[in-house]
Amino acid sequence: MNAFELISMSKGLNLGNLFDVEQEFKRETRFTSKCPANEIIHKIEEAAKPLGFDVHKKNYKLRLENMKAGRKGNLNVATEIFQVAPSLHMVEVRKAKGDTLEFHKFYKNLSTCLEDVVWKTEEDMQEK
Amino acid sequence: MRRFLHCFCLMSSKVDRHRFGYEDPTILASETAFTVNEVEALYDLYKKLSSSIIKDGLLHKEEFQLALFQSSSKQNLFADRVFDLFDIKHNGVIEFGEFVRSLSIFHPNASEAEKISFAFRLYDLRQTGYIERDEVKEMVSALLSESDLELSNDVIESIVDKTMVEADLKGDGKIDQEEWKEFVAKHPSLIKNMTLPYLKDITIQFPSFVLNTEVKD
Repeated sequence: MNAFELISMSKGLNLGNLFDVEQEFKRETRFTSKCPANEIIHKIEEAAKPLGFDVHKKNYKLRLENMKAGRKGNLNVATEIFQVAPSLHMVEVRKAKGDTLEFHKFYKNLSTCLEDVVWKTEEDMQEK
Repeated sequence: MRRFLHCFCLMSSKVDRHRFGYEDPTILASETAFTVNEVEALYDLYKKLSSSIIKDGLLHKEEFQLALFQSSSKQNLFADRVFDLFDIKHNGVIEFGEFVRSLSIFHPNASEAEKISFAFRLYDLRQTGYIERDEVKEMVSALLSESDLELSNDVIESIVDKTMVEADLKGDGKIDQEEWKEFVAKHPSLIKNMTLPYLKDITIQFPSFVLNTEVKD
């Protein structure tokens, strides 16, 4: 991950917040982890499969597809793992297709399963 | 004489209808990526944001901070840079025209060149025309501090080094506009936050403009 990719994640540079009347149901979120990338990938896979998601892997990107169709088609979630430093990874989880509310519910389930992996959530990183 | 006064009354009531800092939406639309209706919808947003703390119809730094962070006192290097760039006249407030003209760069239809250039100016903290190595380091440190993440100075240095090696092709310790353009060409996601897809839906988000609209698209 280069310096500018890191910098561009600042809340001060994401002007979408000017327009979000309700910020409750985001289409994208991220968390940091101190676990190695392979472990993170493995844990996400383990968590997503029982929730009914098909997992496609390529390098440090995962594509999770809900095998069951939801309100706006099959929920598709893209995750990508960035190495910020040797011992620190940033994981981005983004809705690629489908209903935002379903994505929000999915992410809530996912984070419960990933408790051991997550070091700081997006809320933790913005609480200052 | 009476007719003249009557016309004058009509004109002044139109001006009163809009607060200080209002600019003709037709002119703003012709100079930006927005339609007239979108400019009017932006005016509704601007009114809301600019009256949150200091009710003078102008967008002050604390009101901008409040809108971005839900906290008017949150100090943030990057929000400061955005505010400075939006404040084209450098009079300490973002007027409506400045708001629209600056947001236009974030419109999905705005040119990539505009976005690349705006990002460069954002990151050129001291406006020297270059993004110096120490500015890169300052920004990385600011991001880490903002996110409550701690990394050792060595690790921060190595992140900055890696970036400079890739971006600073002339090896002079700073990134110029040409180098920045080439760097973005290699990493297009770097200007992802220079586009706000919501701007295309703004008339849906702020439908109250329908009551105030002067022009039909």
